[in-house]
Amino acid sequence: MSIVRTKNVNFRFNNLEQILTNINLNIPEGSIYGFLGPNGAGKTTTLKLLLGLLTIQQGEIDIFNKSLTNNRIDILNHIGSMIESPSIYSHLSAFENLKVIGTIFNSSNERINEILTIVGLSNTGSKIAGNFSLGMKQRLSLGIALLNNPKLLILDEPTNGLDPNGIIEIRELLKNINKIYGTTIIISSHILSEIEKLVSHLAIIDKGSLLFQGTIGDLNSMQQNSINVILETNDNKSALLILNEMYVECLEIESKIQFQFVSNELTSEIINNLINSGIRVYELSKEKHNLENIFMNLIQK
Amino acid sequence: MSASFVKTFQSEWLKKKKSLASWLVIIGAFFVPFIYIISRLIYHENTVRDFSSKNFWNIYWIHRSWEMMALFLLPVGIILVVGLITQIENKNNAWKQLHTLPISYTTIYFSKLSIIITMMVQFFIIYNIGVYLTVLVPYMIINNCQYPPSPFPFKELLIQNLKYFIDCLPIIALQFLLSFRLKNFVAPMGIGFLIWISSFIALRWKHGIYIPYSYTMYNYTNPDNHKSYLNYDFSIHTFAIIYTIIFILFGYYIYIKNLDKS
Repeated sequence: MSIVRTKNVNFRFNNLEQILTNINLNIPEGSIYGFLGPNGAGKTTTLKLLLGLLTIQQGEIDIFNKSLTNNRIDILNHIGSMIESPSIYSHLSAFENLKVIGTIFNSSNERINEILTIVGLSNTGSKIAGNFSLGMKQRLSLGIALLNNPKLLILDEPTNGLDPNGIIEIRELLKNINKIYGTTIIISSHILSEIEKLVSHLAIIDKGSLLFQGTIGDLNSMQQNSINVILETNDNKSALLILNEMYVECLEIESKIQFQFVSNELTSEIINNLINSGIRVYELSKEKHNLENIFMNLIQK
Repeated sequence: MSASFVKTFQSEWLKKKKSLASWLVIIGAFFVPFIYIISRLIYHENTVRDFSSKNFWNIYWIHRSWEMMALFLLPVGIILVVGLITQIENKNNAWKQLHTLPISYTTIYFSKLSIIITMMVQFFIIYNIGVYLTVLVPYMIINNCQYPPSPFPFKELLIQNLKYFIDCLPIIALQFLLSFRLKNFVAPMGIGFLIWISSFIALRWKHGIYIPYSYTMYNYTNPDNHKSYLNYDFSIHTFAIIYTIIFILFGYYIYIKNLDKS
């Protein structure tokens, strides 16, 4: 069942620059949904539209099976969010920051202390948030997003500016939240490697258009279909002729021949033909495309 | 009053805790009384004489105590406090957080405005306590100083406070509108100071009454100054209320119509 569904969402600023074109998102309940794209691709704009921070111009957004336009407040009751940099009041302590937001949600002091423990800030006492490190600020911001025990968590690049340790901490925290509370999480990033270990589903956006949407399994299938074979011989010219005779599409890059992997049988046949023709094979290797390559290929198309 | 408004108001009240604006209200309210206390202690002979005057409360106390406030500190203080309160969201990049809470935009707008008006009430209460201390402290410290014998003018005090409070409202409303619209901290304050200085310059100009920041000044100098050349009998306080309503509604309209709430 989809918890978020958008239909043909288009958006432009000042009636000039088209930011989003026909965005159709389908986010399953209970998933960790990675929203991936380079800087300026339209990720933040999409997330702002989902949160009602930008007014929808064209298309439809349904969250929890309700129209966002007509049920904004009701929907926001069940959403926690963190958009771009942390939004925290620097003159207040972590507890006071949570209390400011908790007052709106009728959160008890026990709930606030529980959140402080979850995000690892229970020992900050009266230290004001302005004196926190970036990682602590991110965790406090995440704590604010978790305060109302949301069904849906929308996080825009939550690991921006964090060191590798901080990234791992946030990743583990989100995994636990998803696992324990069943919270659906939408997390945007411009670096696939940062979220590929976390997400169950993925969307790739570039220049305002959705290029891919599916499970990590779907993306892995794409990976299987795009393995290249690299071949190095003592006579590439003759080798290319033989490959052409076998109807294998290939090209020569930096004194190496590259062709797409089809099957082990065909690869074996190619090797036999080359050796039988007196060509020495120095190297034959499979170049596996990792998810990052696929992402790069998608956005460069 | 809806539960949502009450919760948002409480949240906003917590937010301003320890902020510069809340300190400014306390320090600003005690500043003038503190100067008066020092002055009355230094010039204690004059103090003894003034205290024995039968017009002490109305002339030496109520009227004089508002001089610095009406002309300078009240308009300047409001410009600063309103700027600092709205700046809490701008500085902390927190508008987007506020706008993703399950609260209507109307509640957000009016709860923030209510916070500022409540802070003004707080300011007036502290200021009046401070002003009363300008009598009590010299009376207790200076030898032979008698407590002013004439009856304490409760009614006049309340009326004067109410008038100054109403006269402050257009400044609050316009500064609030500007601070909500302009994210920059300096711009609304710059505009505010410009209007305040213009009001000051235009104080003796017959059309000065139309400048919305001039009413505290008129209330101190001559509240009926304009009536000789205007054909209608509006008081400056009526002008203040009309301006306040216009600014609040216009500010609300442009806030609601702003399509980008991040």
